Amino acid sequence: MAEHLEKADELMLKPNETRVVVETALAENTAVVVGDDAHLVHYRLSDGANNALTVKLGKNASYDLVTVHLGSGKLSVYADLAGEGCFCRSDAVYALNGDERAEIKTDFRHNADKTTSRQLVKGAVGGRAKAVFDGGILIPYNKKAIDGAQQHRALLLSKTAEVKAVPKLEIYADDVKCAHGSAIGTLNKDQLFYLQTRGIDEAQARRILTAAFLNEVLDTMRIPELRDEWGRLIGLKNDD
Amino acid sequence: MSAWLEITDLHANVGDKPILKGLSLSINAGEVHVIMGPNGSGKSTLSNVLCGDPRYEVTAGAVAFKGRDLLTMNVEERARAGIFLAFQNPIEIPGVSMSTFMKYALNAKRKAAGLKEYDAVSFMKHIKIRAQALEITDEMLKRPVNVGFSGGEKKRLETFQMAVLEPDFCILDEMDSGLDVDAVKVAGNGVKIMRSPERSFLVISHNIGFLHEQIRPDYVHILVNGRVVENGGAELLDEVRANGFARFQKGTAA
Amino acid sequence: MAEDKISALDAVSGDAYKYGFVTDIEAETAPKGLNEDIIRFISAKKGEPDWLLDFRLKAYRHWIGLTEPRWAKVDYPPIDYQDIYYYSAPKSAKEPKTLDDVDPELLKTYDKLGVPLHERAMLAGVAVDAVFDSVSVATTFREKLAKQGIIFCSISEAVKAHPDLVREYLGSVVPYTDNFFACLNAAVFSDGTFVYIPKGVRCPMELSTYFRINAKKTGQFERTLIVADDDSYVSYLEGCTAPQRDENQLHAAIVEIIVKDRAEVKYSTVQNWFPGDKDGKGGIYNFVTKRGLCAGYKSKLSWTQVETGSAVTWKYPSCVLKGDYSTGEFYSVAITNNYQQADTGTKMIHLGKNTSSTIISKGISAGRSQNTYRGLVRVAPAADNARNFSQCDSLLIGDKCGAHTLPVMVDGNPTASVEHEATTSKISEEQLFYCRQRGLGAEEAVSLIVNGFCKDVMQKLPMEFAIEATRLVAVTLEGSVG
Repeated sequence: MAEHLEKADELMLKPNETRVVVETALAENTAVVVGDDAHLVHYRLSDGANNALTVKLGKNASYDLVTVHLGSGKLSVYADLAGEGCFCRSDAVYALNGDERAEIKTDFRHNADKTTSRQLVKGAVGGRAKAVFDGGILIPYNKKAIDGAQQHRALLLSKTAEVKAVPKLEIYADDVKCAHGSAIGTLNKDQLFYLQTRGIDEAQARRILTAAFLNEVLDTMRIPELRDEWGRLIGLKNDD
Repeated sequence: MSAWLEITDLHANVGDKPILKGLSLSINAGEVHVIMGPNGSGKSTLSNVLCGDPRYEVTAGAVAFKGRDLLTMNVEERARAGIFLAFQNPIEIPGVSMSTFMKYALNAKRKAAGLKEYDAVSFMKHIKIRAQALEITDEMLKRPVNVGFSGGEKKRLETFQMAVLEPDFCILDEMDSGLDVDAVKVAGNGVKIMRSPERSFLVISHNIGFLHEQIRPDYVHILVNGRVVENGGAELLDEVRANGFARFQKGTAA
Repeated sequence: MAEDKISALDAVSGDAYKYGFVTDIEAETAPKGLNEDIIRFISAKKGEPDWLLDFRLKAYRHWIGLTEPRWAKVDYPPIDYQDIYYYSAPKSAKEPKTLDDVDPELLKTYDKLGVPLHERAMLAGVAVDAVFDSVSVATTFREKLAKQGIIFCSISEAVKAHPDLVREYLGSVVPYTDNFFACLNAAVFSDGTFVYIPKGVRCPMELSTYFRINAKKTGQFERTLIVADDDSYVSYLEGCTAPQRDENQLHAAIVEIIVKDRAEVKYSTVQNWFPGDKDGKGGIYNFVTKRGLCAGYKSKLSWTQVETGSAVTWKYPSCVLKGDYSTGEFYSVAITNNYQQADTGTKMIHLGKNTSSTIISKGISAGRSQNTYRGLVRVAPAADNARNFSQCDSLLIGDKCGAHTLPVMVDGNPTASVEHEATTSKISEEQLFYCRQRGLGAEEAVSLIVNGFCKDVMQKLPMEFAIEATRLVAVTLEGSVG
């Protein structure tokens, strides 16, 4: 069962513990520790919050984070993959408009062997809003069997919006498989046209496609009601 | 006199896991041997160990090839001495064309044998004849090694490499797997062309039809749990076809 | 001013770097160190007009207030800018009129480097400007090119013969205020190449500059200025080598390129400065600013670089895509071994509409080296339909080296598309095994796989350069597999 927390500044999982935590209001700093063989699923909704999240993972631990970021604010995730065989995922979606300013920062450190990380960050920026995605993967010297991947995709929805992406791979070991990608662009014209041929007006078609683009991040969420509700919130954001 | 290839009590591990547990086998020049066995019995390990794949560790036993201690030689020394492995899943090497690759390989072998390296003209002559015989087009030679080829084409290119390098001892690891009937025939045809009294073969396959019709082995060995448990002739193929490996597996559980 | 005799000082060791020899030649050298007098000395030596001396002094005065950038992922001891000779010229090099006037010792040097200056002996199709320490010693095929109105000469000469052109464009793409090393160069640049391709002319041969640092403790600060007028085309090659010495030497060059309407410039570099020995001793510090302005409609600029040399590299050949429908390309192979450090990449600045850029970068790290791709793609709000695609792949050979990918993308236009993909992995054990099973030696296999990995970039090089580059890959990676 999922537990609901508000403004948690600490979240500690003992070895072998499994928890599903939903947060809809964020503290300024949150420290998460996932003990050996423990598993944490963490869903966060941030409406204009500033939050610095630090995560430490034990041996064979897993951490599965999905963040929905609406509005201004600076969110950072610092992950210390400290235990051998641990897995860390951090997916996020951001939707901005008006004069909003948002920054999504990740810093993943593969400090143990056989660690895996995954990041998928998608955003849509309209109005005069500006977004910065600053994502890092660091693999220190001598670490073995590391697998890290990061993807960032953003849609620019207006002429006055701006997205800046700074994906970083810093690798000091050779037994690695690492990739990152970042794409900033616009809605697919063929898809827009296709929807219009079915009688949907352009504005509506844009909304549908933007929502579909962003909602992909929510697909992995294990609480269907939450996924639908947060999907709706993202959709509303696009309507502004 | 000992055999041409003499494997004696060979033990080998992957990591800490023993796979070959005392395998012995003798192969003489000009002979075609088939190795069969259930999955996980060590067939592919044997072929990789014979080639010197660094991922496998030989823990005991001996392998002599034409009177030389094979186990002290590194991968390329064994290749230049005449050992060839047709891989089950040949790896892609982007950006390196098949003809460039073969030129390096052939000249490395010639150099090791004290022969003059081929220049561009004599090299092209050498490969053209063999390419034609195996239906390898110029376009296939220009493409990067194993990149974007169908399963059948990859196997044909393995056979082509064998024809170009003219090895003394060929190991064919699941040559026929994943191929349609016509492709199996082409693969088998390559082996027929290559058969000679100075060249021997070790063929790993499950495909009795392919072995009977294309390979026509002199000897068949059954490998179970890292050891050869039965030696025989082509008649063993029929027994496996009829009864599987059940009889050979008795008392050899992993 | 002092005139030192610079003699063969260092014995050449039997290392793989075959260009590590020293030419024993009499040189005229400015006193060590940097101040306004030195700048006046350089300017006077070259008989420069006042405007150029002013340009230098302005730059110098600006430079004094700057601090050396340290944001690159490279690490080297502080440089003592007063312990460098800023000017060294072979005595015999004073304005040779024809090749017959060139010191035979210099001709021999270039022969040894594989850069024959005798036009008769040359393979058809490449004209060479040879820069030895601070001066250009020979430029070939000038008359033939002049018939089509192409200007190909040393920049010192251009200052005298074509002052208006030089004055118009010098510093127009890389202003002296641009960065620390560019500013230093603007103050002390000694020579370099000037190219002007007139309207509608397709340059009939490859133009090339061959840079050679010979003198000890001498910095090389050359400046290349290429102007391609409307509807013109030129392919330009740059090569470089230096003797093998125990101390580090500074190379801080500037390349400025102006590409006008529908013109195209292809700039290729095979960079083979001495990288230092296997223990990281010696080698060139290569701190270079290269930038081109695609000024007009459908201008096209393509950078191709193969970086194998230098102890430390800091270099980002860039394109400012100002003209509508202009195109920028950056194709790069950077290979580092032993203790080399390379921080290199590109900037693509999209200002015009329908501009497009492509970045393909292949980094190979071996030994204890560090190899960084650093890039910037910026799409300005006015750059409708701008397109960028970047692919950066890194290959690691051995577990003591590093590979870093640090791109920055800024998109401010909703009709634009910016895409970046990067991968990092170690050289495949399976590929190595496959090659070795076919009889290739371990080093041969590595070099073959690496060349395959770099193929997309290598094939952008002109033929003669591609062969040289392929060979250099093998040489650079020697000793990388144990």
